[in-house]
Amino acid sequence: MSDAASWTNTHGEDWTLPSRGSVGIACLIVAESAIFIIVVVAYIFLHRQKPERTHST
Amino acid sequence: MATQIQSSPINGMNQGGKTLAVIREWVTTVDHKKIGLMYIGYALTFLFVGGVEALLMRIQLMVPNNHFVSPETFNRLFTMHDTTMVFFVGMPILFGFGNYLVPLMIGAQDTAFPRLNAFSFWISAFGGLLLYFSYFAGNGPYGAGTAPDVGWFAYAPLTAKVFSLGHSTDYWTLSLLLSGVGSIGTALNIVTTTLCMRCRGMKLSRLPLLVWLYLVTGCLAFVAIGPLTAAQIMLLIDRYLGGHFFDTQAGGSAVLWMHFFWIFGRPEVYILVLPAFAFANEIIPVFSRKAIFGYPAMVAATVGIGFISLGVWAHHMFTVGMGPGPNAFFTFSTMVIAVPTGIKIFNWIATLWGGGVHFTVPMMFSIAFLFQFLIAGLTGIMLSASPFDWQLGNSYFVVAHFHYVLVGAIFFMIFAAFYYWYPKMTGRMLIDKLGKWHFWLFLIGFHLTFDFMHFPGLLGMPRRIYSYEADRGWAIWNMIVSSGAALQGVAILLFSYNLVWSYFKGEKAGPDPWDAWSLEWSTSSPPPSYNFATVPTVESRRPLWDLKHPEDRDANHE
Repeated sequence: MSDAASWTNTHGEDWTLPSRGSVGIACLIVAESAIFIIVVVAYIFLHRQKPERTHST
Repeated sequence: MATQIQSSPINGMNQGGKTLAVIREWVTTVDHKKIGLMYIGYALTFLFVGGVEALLMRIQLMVPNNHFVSPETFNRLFTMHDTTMVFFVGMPILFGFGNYLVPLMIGAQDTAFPRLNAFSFWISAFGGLLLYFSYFAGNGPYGAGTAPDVGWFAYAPLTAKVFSLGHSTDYWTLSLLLSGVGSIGTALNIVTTTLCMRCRGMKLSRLPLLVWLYLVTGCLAFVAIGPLTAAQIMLLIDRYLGGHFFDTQAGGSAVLWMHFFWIFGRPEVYILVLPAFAFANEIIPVFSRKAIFGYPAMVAATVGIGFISLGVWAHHMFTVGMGPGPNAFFTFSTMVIAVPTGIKIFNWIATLWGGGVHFTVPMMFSIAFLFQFLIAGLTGIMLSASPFDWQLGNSYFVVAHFHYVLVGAIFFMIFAAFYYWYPKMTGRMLIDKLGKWHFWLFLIGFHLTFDFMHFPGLLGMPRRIYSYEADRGWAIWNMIVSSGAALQGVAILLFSYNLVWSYFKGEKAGPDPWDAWSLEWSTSSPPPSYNFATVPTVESRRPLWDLKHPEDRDANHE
């Protein structure tokens, strides 16, 4: 099937989409947040454990 | 003859020049279709490697007291097999199909970030190469290279410098770090392309279900891969900068690593299985000659699976001793995820119901997937009950369960996707008869292997065991399991032959060999670099159906 002449625009409405730059940066922030949150979680987890330890060195 | 003598050097140079030009074209390409094909080719190469590793392990376990490979080699084999199959076969092959199909199905002429796409592929590819370079890198503590031997989830403190000598664990860590960065880049591209590059009229409520599922997969990848990346960085700090995150002798926590790994590892299963669902969502309706049943419910179930999958990770850790509270929570959340998954299975069956089912090769793989995924889900619910898991955790029952998911569901749908979209990608049909041979051999091999693998697990055979005594009662089951694995290997060889032969000599496909209705079938096979000469306009969920059936357009019913 040739697509060249098949598609005709019958829409009268405007067609706007989000900016790819904004969406891309938002995705990047989410991905990087996931990395840093885990480091913070590690700190809190280990910090909370400290009083229970009997390590003598 | 004289002409040959005169022209052959020139021809040779031309040929060499042509080859270089082709290599340069592929290495420097930013075309999403070529990048998708490179992902797929790369994954198939590693499928062969990971498959050989699996066969070597099955030969070792085929009979009791076997010494086909050494214990050290066996440790490396299961580590490399697991890591390869998850990170360098499953992820790239599914991202490959996503890269190829998502822009075509939303009527886009390229992805949102083509250069990032190429960067993500190459960094992932070098991650895989780095993992296998470990075989050649130095002698290692046991000789024969420094291939990792800590298992694919690399539990602490086994990965500590004192227990993991040499650089084997470093190769594992660095290769996963690299491929993780690549996966985040590809996921970012898929999400942004879906949201920002849709053709006119392609509202979110009209997105093909495949694209919806890839959108959720991409979002999951952002959230899930980050923890693994962070944990790998912490592990490197432990090993080389004197950190103690996972060092239990110095105040660190081995359980912390388990949490971090499974916060990644559990959603990872859904990152792998959602694209398989995506393929089923396209293939089952086309060969049932019906629109998918319950489109909104399918989208809602997908989003539900995405959210719930982030809260079930610790069911991998029931045997750690987390206490009754966490055990109850993770048992409950794991059982809850069966609800949206059940909705999907119900909707696929409802799509088949009353449809004009065509038993083509992709449809045969899809129907087998439905049955097998149901079984995998049922054993999953069994293992979600913590008391049951205490009995069978780390046994071959668990190995059988997750291979039912990874092979019985995901790989069956990957094969279905190959048979369905190969004509679009190459312009040629795969050989139908050989496809049916592939299906039946693989189906029988799969069931011999993974049905019977449950039994030694129930009888107490631990996973990753190197060998076993003859009086354990496991021998007959292992013999059957290994025979099935060999049959699967034969089926894969047939499939490989089919892929290569059909590329050169297969029957010409034409743009729409399945009489399908999503946008990728409206352009030529293979599509031009710009995808569509005229960017499509969409008025329903099945735009090509509207075009072919103007008297009964979907747009009139939605």
